[in-house]
Amino acid sequence: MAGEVALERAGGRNRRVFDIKIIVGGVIILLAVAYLVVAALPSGTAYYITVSELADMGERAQTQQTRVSGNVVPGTIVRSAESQDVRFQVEDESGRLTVVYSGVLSDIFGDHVQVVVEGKQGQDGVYYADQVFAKCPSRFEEAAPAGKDYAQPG
Amino acid sequence: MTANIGTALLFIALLAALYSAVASVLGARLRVPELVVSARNAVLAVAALVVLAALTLMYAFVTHDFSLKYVVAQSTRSQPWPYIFSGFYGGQAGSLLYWSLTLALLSTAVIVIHFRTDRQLIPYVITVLMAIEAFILTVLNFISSPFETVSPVPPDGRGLNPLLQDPGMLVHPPMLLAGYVSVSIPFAFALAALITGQVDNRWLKATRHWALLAWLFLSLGNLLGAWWAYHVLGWGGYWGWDPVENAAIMPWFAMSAYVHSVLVQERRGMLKVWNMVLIIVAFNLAIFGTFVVRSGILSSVHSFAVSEIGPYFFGFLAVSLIVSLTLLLLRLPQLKDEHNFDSMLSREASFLFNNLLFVSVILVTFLGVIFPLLSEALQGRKINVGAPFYQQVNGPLLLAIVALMGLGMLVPWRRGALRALLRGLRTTLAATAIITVAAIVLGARSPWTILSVAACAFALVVAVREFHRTALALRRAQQTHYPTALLAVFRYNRRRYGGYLVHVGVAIMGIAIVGSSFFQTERSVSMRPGQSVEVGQYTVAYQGLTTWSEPGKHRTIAALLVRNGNRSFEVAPQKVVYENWEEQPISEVVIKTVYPQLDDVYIVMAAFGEDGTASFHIFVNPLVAFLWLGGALLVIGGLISWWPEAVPATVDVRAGRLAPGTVSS
Repeated sequence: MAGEVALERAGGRNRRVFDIKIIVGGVIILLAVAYLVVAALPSGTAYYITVSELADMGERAQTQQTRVSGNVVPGTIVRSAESQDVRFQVEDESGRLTVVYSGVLSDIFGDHVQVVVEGKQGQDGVYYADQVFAKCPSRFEEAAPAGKDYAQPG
Repeated sequence: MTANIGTALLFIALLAALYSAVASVLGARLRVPELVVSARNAVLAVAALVVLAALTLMYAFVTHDFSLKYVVAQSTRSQPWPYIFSGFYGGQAGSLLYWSLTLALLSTAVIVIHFRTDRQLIPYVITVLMAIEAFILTVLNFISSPFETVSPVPPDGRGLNPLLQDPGMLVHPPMLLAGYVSVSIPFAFALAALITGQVDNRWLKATRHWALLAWLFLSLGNLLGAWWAYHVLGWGGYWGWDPVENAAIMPWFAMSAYVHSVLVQERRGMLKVWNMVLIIVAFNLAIFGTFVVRSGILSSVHSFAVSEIGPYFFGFLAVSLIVSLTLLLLRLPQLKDEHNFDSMLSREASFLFNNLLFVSVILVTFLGVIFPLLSEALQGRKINVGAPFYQQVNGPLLLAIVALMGLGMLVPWRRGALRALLRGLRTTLAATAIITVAAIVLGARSPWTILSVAACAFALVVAVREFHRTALALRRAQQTHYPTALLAVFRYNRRRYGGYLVHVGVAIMGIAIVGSSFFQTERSVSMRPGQSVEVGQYTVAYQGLTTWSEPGKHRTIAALLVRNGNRSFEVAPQKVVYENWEEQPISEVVIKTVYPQLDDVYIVMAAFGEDGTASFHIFVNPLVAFLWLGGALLVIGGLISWWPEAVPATVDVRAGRLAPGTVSS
């Protein structure tokens, strides 16, 4: 603090001098943020691969955790009567993939809905998902593509 | 017919807005006051026209005029009337109409309040506001009109998405949109100040209440959004860091930073450039928020269709950023600060660091939101950023903000003395320690949890202490009872103590967030009638299914008995199928708050079979009730702070004297 006071006395009305402590504080925050971002990026992010990229991975797809995104093919959802198993197909512009998931799906899940599946491929070529995220088309928009004929302009 | 009227109204409104924007700036430049008055009248005309257009659309909804595409998409004959009303802003075109309606009405209010008092600024304020209005009206006229017709006319509409047929949806979008819109007003004043070169504190004083109003709307919009997500979406949480939520919270962070940093400029003539930057950022984030929800660019990062509205919003954002930043650069020499920071231990320094942290949170969130676009541009791969990223980065930053919030209330303006500060802190630190130890006894183990509780407790104790001290002083000064004095605190300095009540709310919300994020128990289970399951301290027994039909929907209702110790209660989660939306059954979640533990028992019926088997997703969410309590206090505090001051008076807290004079904040 003494340094500043001296500076103020010596510099008089010189107000363009930046306060060293503010700069140090700002730099500390900046470094902390940068560190947090760099530390969090590997675990917080996920690659999305396309269906054909999954096919290109070959056997690696059976051991490596992957994420595939695509739209649920209408009419392919089959729910098991006894368990929580759900079997469905996902397609993107590069191909189709059969997915099996055991667990609770959100209400939004259904035909046409865009989903992200996370898991591994089985030897049978079926994708066994640990997690299925149904993307909310938008909180705020007519949600179902089934309504396209009415809802979409043009 | 309705379509023609509506279309015509919107077109004339666009012309009036364009005229107003041009006439106002010309009137000011050429010194023709009549032109400015005429521009002002044009604003009123725009408001009247847009109100009429909105009424026309409303009329179409009420009369089930299915010749309009928009009405078909958003309503049915059997839809309950409140949701016919919410259908108005439930889709893209209607929500843009609501946007332009809100802006037109707020612009009218600006004119009523400021036309006489801010003579120099007002012509440019009108220009900026009407330029924004003209942009939205252009989109409404030529790209996404709610008055577009369909033929042949269908007998009934498709109806609003059932997920949106919820009371939360009646209030959440209008509040959030109003928040986005109202940021335009301080922004317009800031631009007017930059254009005219009148960059003293006048524009700040004029927009003090507008900025708080925008902050209030944004707070309400986000809180109601969280409430809606929690009660309707059925995934057991209230905040998921998804792009749409991020887009909504970023302007709130920006305005939260702004309402603090303007105090520094008002008091000490510092942070002038910073405040300009903040309000420009806040406005553009608000436009970004409006546009992200609508355009689908981000929520559909993995899909292939880009909404046609996207490029227009991008263009508008680009123009608004370039114009405002250019103006700011040109005025930089006039925006010199009047003081340096005297000490790091001062209120202004604490505000500065709170601002740096808020801006860091915004940058991190923005980085996360645009990361898929960035990574695709740089690496050709879409890399998505999930909730863990935001929790790991924003979590510590928000924690630091809460801790600083406590500290900021303790330090005086200009220069604080560390020794005096510490001496006065004994009770505060003791109370903080007691709460933290209590949390450890109740189960907090990890360092992060303990640190988070400590930070929230500290901020809470400091805020409560401030109320207590001022109440004591007022009791002495006014010779009244303590409760009366405690209420008088708000009358004594509405702005400050309203703000401190917000701090109390934030600290309580912080505790709720810690509780519900670190101590949630969840279980997915499939049961036959008669079976039961243990979740945490609770036993949930499934008794059976019943069905129920009513116009427009069919319900399947599960009967469950929840036991905790020797107490028990019944709950009935449901699955509802709406007509026209059979492919998307809706879960009606049950949420029961158990006292005194403050656990939310949260049960969703995920699926059911013919034989009566049903699967459930059961959560025990501790302390979520505190989130709503804290949120309510935050809104009430914001409202108190916003409420116009009556007669200003100050009290010397230490001496307990009441002295007339200016209000300090």
